Amino acid sequence: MFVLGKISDELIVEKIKSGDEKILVYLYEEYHSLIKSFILKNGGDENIIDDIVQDTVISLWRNVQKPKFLLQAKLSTYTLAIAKNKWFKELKKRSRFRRVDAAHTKSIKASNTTINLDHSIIVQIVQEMDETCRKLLSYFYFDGLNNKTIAKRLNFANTNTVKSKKYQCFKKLQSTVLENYNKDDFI
Amino acid sequence: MKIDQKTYERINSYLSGELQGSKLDAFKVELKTNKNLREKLELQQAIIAGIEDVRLNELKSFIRDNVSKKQNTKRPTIKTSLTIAASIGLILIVFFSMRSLIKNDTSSSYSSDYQDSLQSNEKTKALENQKINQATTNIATYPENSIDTQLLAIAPPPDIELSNEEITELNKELAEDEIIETSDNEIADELELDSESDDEIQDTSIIQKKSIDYSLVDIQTTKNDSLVQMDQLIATAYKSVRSFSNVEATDRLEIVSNDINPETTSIQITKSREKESKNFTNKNSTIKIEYWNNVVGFNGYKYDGNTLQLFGITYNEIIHLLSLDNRLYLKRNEQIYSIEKSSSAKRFTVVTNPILLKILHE
Repeated sequence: MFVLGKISDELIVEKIKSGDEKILVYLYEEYHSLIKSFILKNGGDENIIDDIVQDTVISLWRNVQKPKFLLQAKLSTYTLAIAKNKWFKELKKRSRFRRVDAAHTKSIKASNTTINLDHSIIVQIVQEMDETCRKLLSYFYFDGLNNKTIAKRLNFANTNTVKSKKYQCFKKLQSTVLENYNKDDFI
Repeated sequence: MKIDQKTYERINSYLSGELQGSKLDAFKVELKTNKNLREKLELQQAIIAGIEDVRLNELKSFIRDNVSKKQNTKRPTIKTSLTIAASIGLILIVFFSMRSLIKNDTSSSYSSDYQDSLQSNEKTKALENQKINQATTNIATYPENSIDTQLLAIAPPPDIELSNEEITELNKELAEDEIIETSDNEIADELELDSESDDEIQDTSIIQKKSIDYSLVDIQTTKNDSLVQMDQLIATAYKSVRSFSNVEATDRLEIVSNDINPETTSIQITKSREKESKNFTNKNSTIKIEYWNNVVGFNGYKYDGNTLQLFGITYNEIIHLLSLDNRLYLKRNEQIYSIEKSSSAKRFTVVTNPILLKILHE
């Protein structure tokens, strides 16, 4: 680990907000036993623990990055709450009787879309794109950073530059995706 | 299908939940009626999902790599620590078990070698006796005033070809004999002799323990008794020293001798006699007197300030110790000898100064 000893909740939040990815490793190790204990007590097994812990830590990362985030409880309590949600979702997936999740309605369903897109191809294209563009789009869509923070992190002049660059990167990415599909893919 | 920046931003706002109120309603209406917008929305959603997946995997890889790196660096450390601890423990166990074995081996080897050692001692001592007797008979003259009588008794004269190697060998043999005797607890009384004698005597105690004074103690001799004759402590006495007056007081007299026969113990005879002078006029002090039998017939003394070693004076001979101006004098047969502090043995020096003699005699 990069840090020795215990880090206060406030410092963790500060590090997440500043985009210090090293804190993810600390969070993973700090909360691994807590989450593991919960999963094992609730019908889980060793194989799923690492994935749940990783997802939990990354969710924490994403939530804290949001401008409206406000820590009102201990970070461990908050993290365990995330882990519980992750685990219960996993249990639902395993259930034979899946309930319709409201979130699913928001996601793209290939059967319901007019475009038949292969997700893995898009992932591959994103991975191969220019690093700055990939980071910019990742910070914006995944990490939920605002333009000001992105500008600071990627050394852009101002938020307008971020806005403009973001559009250009997305437009280029979209073009590349479309190039990988024939017109037949579109209904 | 091309997307302009305005539409791109509107779709982003809609997907992130920022679009609210009438703008949101208007966007929903347009979505129902505008197929192109719907396709753009679906495409943008699919691309964003791809971006999120890539970023998610990136972070997961980062966590996994760093955690595994740490574990890779930690685990060997833990393993190494455990290995080191186990090794140290093993070494300690082996060490202690071997030490006890070595002790047993040593003691058993002592006991098994004891007979061999005794046999070899006979041979060695025979050689030793022969050479030292030869040395004794060849010593005819001494230095004038400063002689270490014990060294004279031990050391071979130059004309005897006793090499250093032979001396070392002899001492080694005798030292082994000493160890055996010590282990058998047969020299407890001999150790008492050591405590009686001074350091210099202790240095030569290995040989002295093999010697015996036949003139004082009638002890059944063994073949070992005749091997070495060295300076022998005959008796120890504590005498009062009077300043400017005749002193005649012997507080205690001890006759000490020892037997080298390992089967017999040392003999210690203590006699006490008290003679008190009626002419005490001054303060007296007490010093320790040791009567030594010297194998070469040396007459003299050695005085370190506390103990006076006398050579050539028998313990039953009447002597007086006098002190004048912090100098010690020995009165014997109406002769007064000056006693000086010296680490080596000195011959008796007769006081001839008439004034000094007069004072001392008075």
